[in-house]
Amino acid sequence: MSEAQSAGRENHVCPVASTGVFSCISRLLLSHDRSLNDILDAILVEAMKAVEADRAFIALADYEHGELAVRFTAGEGWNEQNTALRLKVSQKTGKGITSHVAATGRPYRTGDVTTDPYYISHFDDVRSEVAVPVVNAYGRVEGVINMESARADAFSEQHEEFLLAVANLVALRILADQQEKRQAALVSLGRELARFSRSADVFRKVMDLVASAISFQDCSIFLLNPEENVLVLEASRGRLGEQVHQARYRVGEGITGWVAQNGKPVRTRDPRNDPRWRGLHEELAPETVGGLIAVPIMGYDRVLGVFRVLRRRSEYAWVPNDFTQDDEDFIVATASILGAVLDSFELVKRVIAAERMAAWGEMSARSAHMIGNRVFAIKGDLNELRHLSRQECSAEKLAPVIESLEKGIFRLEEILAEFREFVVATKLNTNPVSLNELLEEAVRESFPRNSGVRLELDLHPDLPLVEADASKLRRCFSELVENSINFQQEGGVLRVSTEPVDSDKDRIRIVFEDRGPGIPEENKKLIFRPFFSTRSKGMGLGLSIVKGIIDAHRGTIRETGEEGEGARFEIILPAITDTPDAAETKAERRDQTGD
Amino acid sequence: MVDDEEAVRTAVRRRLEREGHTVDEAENEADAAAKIQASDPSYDIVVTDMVMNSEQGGVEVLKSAVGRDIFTEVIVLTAYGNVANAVECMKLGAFDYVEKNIPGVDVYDLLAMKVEQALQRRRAALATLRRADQILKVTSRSAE
Repeated sequence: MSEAQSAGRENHVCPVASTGVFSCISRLLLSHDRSLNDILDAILVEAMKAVEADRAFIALADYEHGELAVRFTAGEGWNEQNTALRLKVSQKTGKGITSHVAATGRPYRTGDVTTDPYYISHFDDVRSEVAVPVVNAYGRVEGVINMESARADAFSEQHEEFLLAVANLVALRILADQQEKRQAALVSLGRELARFSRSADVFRKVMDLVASAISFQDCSIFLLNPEENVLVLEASRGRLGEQVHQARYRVGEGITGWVAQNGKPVRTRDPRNDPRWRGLHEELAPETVGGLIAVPIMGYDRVLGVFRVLRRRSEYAWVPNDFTQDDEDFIVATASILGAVLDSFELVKRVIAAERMAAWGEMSARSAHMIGNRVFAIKGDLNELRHLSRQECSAEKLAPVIESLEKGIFRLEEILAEFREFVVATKLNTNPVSLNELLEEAVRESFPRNSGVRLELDLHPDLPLVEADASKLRRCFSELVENSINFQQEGGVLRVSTEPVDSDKDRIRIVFEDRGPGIPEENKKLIFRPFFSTRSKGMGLGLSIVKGIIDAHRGTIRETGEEGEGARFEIILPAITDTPDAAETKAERRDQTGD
Repeated sequence: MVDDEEAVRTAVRRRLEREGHTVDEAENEADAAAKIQASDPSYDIVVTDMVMNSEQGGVEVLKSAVGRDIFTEVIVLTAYGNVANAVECMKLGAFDYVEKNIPGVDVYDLLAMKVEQALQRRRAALATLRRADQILKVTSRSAE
């Protein structure tokens, strides 16, 4: 050590010993009302002052490219070019002190850069330099804090220790932020998934959220087909995306199949050397796979599928690219939410099926009763016909019997038609459809030209499309229009309106209300039952078929009018929602401008 | 004749009128109760469907009928699957039950026959009642 150096040391009252600086920095690190970027900026300035450096920067790791990117700067001499500096990480000499620190994960300090083997020059006036790594709990280098001074031997061991302490606190804060991000992702997942009704949307949402919280190169979702005991690819980001519905694993085959069979997660850094590995369907070329997590998607009583995430093998020893226990926990949590959502889809399907079966049971019983009565009446006519044929009888006597027979058989066929309508009502041929257009068509075709009924159309201008069977829905609407007209023969009003149910615009409400006699109280429960009709000549669908069609569209229909004041039919249908993503992007943008 | 289907009432009435009977119609158990109450003389026979406004409609009609005149004979028409109710009616005193939809059976002729049998039983019962009445009068007179 030169005299100058020791002299510098003695005269130097080391300010880093002052607790004031530490308390300031730790307060910064704890603040919740500032973003991580603001905090790191402020800390850099404080740290620079504390060690009396002239210039400082923090470079953060970019694992995808194996580089460090300068992100925060303080002091003089920064311009557009050097602020955007990217440093290749390397242990070798002559590649820069920051690179060396990142590669070794150990601090480095020099009092004279001109004689230092690692130093490369970005600024002219540098004599001393100290750099410390920011290392996270798993030993991964998140970045480097670097200080420079124009004086020689400006930095002592205490300075280095101080900076290392700051670096550790920063690492903690970065970790806390990552955890918070993951938590937010899980919360958002739980909240939003309740609104999806199609699994394709759910898969996309899940993969987007995982991507925002964990870095990976690819992920895939496989669902179990219980009949064939085979896992089928349902969604994937990346290469495997082309093989959706094609790529398969038998249960037990490969790591993915093992996970499905055993209901346990697998996390491995080296899948190729795992005995379960088959390498059947991989998003990345096998030799480039660096880390793999496969977790089961659990339903309430069985495995529903497997969720798989991959990382590329890192070329850089200093960047371990395998997954940590934290990563695994996060993915397990995500998969369990996904499992719950898939289960609820299944349950909803079963409930709808059960309701459908109950409706079928009722329909069948009613049909049998009605058909039985019809046939009985026809038998009566036959009995009379046989009686008449044994005597002398005129055509006049025969005519009423024949007419009665015809009526009976006609009514029989009406009943069969309604039954068949009921069967067919569930089989939908759907497309995205504009409800407003459908309503206008239905009104046009069933509203008579000279009607005493005044029509009011109040259609919301900004409705999302609905996945629907246009011709069936249109007939439902026509039925309601015709009913209303039939019950307002002396004139009246029919008001048809559409509007979104709430600001989410995921459901649409359609209302038909009139000023007719309304539905009598005692009939309100019966009007949607099969074969119930208060119209003497019942031709047309009947409200039970209307309800069947609406049910099949996953909608609801209710009658909420007042007897004596008019009938009010309220239909609610689910809208096509690829719009939740649009809503979320708006929210994200809002958050970012707050930064 | 009690049934909620007009065509059924018409067919049955036409067949029974062919036998020379006079037939009144009612469309459900409440309607039947009113007509039975008001009848004077009381009905000889009541033919009734089982399920009308309620699943037990036929039982209600039976009770109305025997409440008005214990010797009114009731014949119950049932659809397939209502045999349990029909048996209950028998236990409560119905004359018989006839299933409406037995394949290949002419229910109307069967019904006409049952009505005839029921009438015979009613007449016999009324005759016994009259004889008992006479004997009572004779014995009470001789007691004086």
